[in-house]
Amino acid sequence: MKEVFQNPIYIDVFEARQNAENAIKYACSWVPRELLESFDLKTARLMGCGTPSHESAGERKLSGEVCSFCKTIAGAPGSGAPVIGCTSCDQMRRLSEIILSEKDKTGFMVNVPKTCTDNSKELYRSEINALCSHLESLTGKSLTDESLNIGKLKSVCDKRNFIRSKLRLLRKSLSAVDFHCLVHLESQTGPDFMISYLEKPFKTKISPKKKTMLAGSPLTLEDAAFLKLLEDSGFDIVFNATCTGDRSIDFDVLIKDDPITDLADSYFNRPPCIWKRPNDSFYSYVSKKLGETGATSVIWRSVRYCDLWNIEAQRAKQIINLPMLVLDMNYSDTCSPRTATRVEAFRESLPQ
Amino acid sequence: MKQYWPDPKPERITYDQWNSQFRMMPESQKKAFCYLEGTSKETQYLEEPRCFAEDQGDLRLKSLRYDNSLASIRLWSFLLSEEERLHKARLAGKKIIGTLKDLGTMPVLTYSSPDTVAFYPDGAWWIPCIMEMSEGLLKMADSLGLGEEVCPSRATLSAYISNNHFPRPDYLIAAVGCCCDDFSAIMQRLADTGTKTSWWELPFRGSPSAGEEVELLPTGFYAPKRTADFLEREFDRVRNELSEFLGHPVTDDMVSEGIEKTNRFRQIIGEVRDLCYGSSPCPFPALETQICEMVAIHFCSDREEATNVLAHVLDTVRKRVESGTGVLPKENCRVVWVNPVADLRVMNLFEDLGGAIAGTEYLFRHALVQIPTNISPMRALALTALSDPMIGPAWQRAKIVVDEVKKYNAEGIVVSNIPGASHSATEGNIIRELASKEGIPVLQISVPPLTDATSSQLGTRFEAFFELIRSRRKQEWQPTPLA
Repeated sequence: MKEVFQNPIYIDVFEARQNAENAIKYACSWVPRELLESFDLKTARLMGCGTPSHESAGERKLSGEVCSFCKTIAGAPGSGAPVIGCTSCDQMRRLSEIILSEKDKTGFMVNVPKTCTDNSKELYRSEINALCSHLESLTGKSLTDESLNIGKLKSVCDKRNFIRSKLRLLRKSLSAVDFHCLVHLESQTGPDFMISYLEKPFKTKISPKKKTMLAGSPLTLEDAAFLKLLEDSGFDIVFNATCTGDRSIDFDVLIKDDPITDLADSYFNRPPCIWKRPNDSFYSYVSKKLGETGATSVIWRSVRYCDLWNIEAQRAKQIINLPMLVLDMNYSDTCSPRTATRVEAFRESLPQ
Repeated sequence: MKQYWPDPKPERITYDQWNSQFRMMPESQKKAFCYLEGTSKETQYLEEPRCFAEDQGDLRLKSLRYDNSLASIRLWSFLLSEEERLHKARLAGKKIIGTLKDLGTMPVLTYSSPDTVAFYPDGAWWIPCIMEMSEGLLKMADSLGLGEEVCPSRATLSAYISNNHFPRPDYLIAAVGCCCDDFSAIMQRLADTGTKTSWWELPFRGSPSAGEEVELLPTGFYAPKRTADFLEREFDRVRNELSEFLGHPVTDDMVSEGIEKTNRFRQIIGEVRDLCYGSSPCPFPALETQICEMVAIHFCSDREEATNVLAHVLDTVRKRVESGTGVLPKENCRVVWVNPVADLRVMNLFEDLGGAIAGTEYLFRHALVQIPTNISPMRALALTALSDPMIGPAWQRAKIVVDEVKKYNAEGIVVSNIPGASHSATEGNIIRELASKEGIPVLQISVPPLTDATSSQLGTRFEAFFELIRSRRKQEWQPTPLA
């Protein structure tokens, strides 16, 4: 897997992650970072470091029964930067709480509704407005009162829209590892850097391979090694349904009359996560994407103690009705012989 | 006041003693208690404990110890006859509403309509313990993709699908939002079975920002007003959906009356708690007080009889306190217990080794508080639901626990973790942190559905904890050691 660690984009993300030490961190992709950036705040998503040592350090801090992804976040060295927590899943909510309790008054928790009703949309709008007020008091700047700053929000949204659309364009020609690294780079850097970075030429992936969809818990940067394993085993990941894959870039923020409400609504209507209740909209979205991409199999990978993805696996198998490999892993398993054997066996089981 | 068969001297008795005592009871007393009173399916429910163990397969009953009062037998019989009661309620023409997750508030709304009975299928998490795994629910959960990493509530899914433990509800009302991930996933699977389901959002009770409009909650915490407004609208939405399902409106007046009856029940349970947790010697055992609290979440499927049962318990407890009698030695270590135990026997073990319950936080404090009556009923339900200790910051739950220690003058805290529960993974340490600031010792244990294999290990930990508490008692009297 040395190849992965020598991948130039991987190295850039690694550095960007280190440089983002003092950026304001947000816990989940349901926190609209455009709002943070319109206050001139440098932002980076809490992604953890997917290594056994970080997982182990996190376990010492939390407990054995916390999901591996949250453990890697807790196990990574902290910084004094503010954190915007999120209630998207129970473990992330509880982890956010622990991190926020160490941050005094600089943190904020965004309550993300699980239901998709008009009323829950109103709740989400009010949460984003409250986040805006929090950022105003944190920075001393006003977004709501000054039309100039509202223009700033629109400008940030335009830039992020541009980045997402560019990534969507590049998607088909990129290898799974490169795409994964670019999504991670996007999550750790500012929009101007990312726009210029995407001007670079990228290697085109080698086809044809078995078209598959990857779904499950978020991937850390280090999970690039797992993606490499999949590619080396003959899979072409044409759709990455994790919240660190295609789903995270498959939407635009449309700003019209009321910028903050429009921002909230764009996020509320973005591709759904598995935790929506009911989660029919997630499966409709996935079915549509399976049709568009031509994927004929699914790799469903959850991290240990990620109940939302793990418990859903059996149900997903019935709904999606394609050959499915279900993996429940921690970060010691990422490229273990056991994982490699299961992936290879799955590949062999698929029709040629 | 009804005249009851006189209770013997208070003590904890075995299953066999309990059966013998039941047989000595006059027939007239055995026939005195009915559920679904006034309906075509009115049923006497006081039974010899053996009936539940042998006929229903509730094998765990054989290894438990019980309070020897009539009120206790009535409480147990009422609890253990719930499945039959639900079946009979359906035969009596009532609609069965399965409420999920919020533990205490939605049943207040549903019981407001006289033609419904509400219960929490979540309660199936106790079946593997009560039936000593003979029912195979956890094995079935495994086959459904819910392994040991999921909390014992996974038994809910298998009990629901197997149709063997409670009648399938006509309608489900499922609370999501600030909810454990595993139970959220289980609810999604329950909704797949085809039962009509209303989802409602139970939002996170965040700490209000500076300058934000707030609402004072019945538990004394504050929530942002906008969150309360949202939840009020959610209750209204669910009420409309329920009305549509029932074919008649559930009016404000009906809900207000439901709140009044619920408050009467909660008043009684509040008095039972104060007397049991605030008195020494302890007048009523831990297992029975836990059941009393549990009844509060959905009235064990019969609100009127649940109120009668609790009133009977209160009467018994009051007499014991007045006479200075109890079921445990006075010197037992008085402890606040956090989280319900998956294996009921642990409460017996705790008392056998020298513990006494002096306060609890069983996940549903909001089901014990008085619901406001000076505001609109939907607003009142919203504020009560927002008081849920599981939907706010963990430090607030820790504060409830520490306040309980102060209220009942307890000497320590036992945090009983539920294996696989996401809240248990992190909350224990937060409770410990706050308690240690107050100088309160904390014991954290993990209780699986059956503890037979680990009871000696648990016992050693209890003994060590009680030794610590006793040594702290002595510290006050010890002279300063000589230099």
